[in-house]
Amino acid sequence: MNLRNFSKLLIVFSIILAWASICQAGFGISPPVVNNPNLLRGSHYEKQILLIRGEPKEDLRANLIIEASENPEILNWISVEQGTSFILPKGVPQFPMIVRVDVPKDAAYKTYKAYIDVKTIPEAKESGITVALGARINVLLGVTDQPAPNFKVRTAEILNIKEGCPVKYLMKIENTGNVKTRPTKVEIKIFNGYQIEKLLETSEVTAENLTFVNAFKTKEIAAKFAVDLKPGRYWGEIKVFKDNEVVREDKTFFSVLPATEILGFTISPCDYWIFAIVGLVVLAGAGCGTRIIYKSRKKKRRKKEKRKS
Amino acid sequence: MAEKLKKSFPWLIILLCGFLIILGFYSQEIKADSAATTLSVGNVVPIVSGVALNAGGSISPTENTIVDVDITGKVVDDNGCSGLKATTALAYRSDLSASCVPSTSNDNNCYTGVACATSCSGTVADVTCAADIWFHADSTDSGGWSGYTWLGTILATDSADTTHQADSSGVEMIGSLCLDVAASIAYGTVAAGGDTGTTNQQTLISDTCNTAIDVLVSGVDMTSAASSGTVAVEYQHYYTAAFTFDGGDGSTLTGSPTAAEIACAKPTSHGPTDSSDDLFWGIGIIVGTPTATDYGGVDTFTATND
Repeated sequence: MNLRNFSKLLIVFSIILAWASICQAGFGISPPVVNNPNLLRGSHYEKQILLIRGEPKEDLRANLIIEASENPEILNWISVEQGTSFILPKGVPQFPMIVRVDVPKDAAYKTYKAYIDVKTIPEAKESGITVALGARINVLLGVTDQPAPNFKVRTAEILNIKEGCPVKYLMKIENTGNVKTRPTKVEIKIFNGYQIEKLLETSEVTAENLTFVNAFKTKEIAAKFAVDLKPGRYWGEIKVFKDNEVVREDKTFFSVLPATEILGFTISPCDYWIFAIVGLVVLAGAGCGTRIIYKSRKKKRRKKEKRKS
Repeated sequence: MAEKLKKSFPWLIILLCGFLIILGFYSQEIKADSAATTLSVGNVVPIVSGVALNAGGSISPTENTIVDVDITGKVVDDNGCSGLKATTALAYRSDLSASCVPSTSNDNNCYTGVACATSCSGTVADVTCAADIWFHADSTDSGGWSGYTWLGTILATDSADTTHQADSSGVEMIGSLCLDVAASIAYGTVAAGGDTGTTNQQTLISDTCNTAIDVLVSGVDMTSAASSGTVAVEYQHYYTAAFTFDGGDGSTLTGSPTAAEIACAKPTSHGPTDSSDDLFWGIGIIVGTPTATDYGGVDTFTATND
């Protein structure tokens, strides 16, 4: 089309394409991808994407479009917790958006591609071109029948304990695999807290004594080491194993606090057998007491009845 | 009287014993005061432990600015943590653990001299250091540094200038896509049947996170409420350099996001970002388009991986 030639022939109507608005502050996403090549049939997977703004001075609407021209069937698998149109509140520089994937039980074993376009909707101006900013999230999903166990230790710490309690190592495990998993083994070396070259105890907890973390979930689990430590400060060196590989090492202090003393006896909150015995004695006592009261009342009632008769 | 004395006698004995005991303690104290004792308490090196960067979570940058990331840990000083002279921290890409020092500070990969706040109780101090990480910090989950991680280190120095340091476990710096468009598309007045010719509107697109980007551009028809007129989206053209409308270089804008093929590498500095590129715009107006001053539309710039 040659508009210049047309313009010579026909009546000219001047139109004003007014000055456009200056666009809003920047926009972005982190990360720009939902990528999981190890989904099992029937599994559920979630990925958090942060929608980020350097100057969130105003509320801003975000609209989402999910496209999968190569694999339209996966449009039914993908959803977003916040819906396809929502507000990014002012004052929030990193807004979390959760992308959910629900794999059907009859999904074909192959790789699927899609994308999610996030488009911000600035306030419309009276005239001119309004510039809208957006970002594209690429979605790459693989359905497999192969289990792929894997995990990351996000955080870990040795907790302070009371005398008589097991040493507790608390781990936040992110299961990045497609089946439930747990560390293979957790090892601890306990050193004197004042002379950290002096090894006092070595202990380990094997997988069967650790809790599972479900696929794609994050959970805190504890490794409890049954070691007998006097009150004081200790230095612990910990190794977390995935098969034979050390995936996390920690070196940190922890304290053993003195247990409570009652009538000269040291009673640890972890001496469960004492509490069990005390509990049984109390129950037995209460039972006997009730029986005695019941019997004495019964006797009195009989006596009264005898007197009446 | 004799009877009374007899009754009071045991009490007198008790009082006397009490007096002798107190006297004994008192004399012992006097002895202690008069003895000359000397003791030197040696310095013990402070020990840093339990260091965590961003509480073990991945770090996402914030668009075109800093994100506060905490480096936390404990310092034990057996001479009393109030005797700690300084605690500082580092945050760096893991391959730089040996070389990240103040003289090599770099907002892409090595943050030094991070100030710390300490909360001291006896011999143990809880330490929190806030690192301001810039948006262009190197990503480690994708791109050229994938396979590495980011680490935090806390250094403690006591009054005797002895130091100790410990590192966190590695966390990912997430590669993120961000953009800013720092100019408008202002076509001004164009006659019906005319076009913008060699006059282009220019949009400066800036990459304001830590990965290279391209942009996908799309638009909608411009409409006028006053005249009920429409300028179809395809009459807007764009190109990565100055162009003449309908001269063959410009690409037609459509409703579907299309790659503009700009060149925005991963930024390496801020204030402003050093990664940006221009996109040039022109428009043609077909004959029959009603005159109006309120034609408006929306053009969308979508950041995507380059």
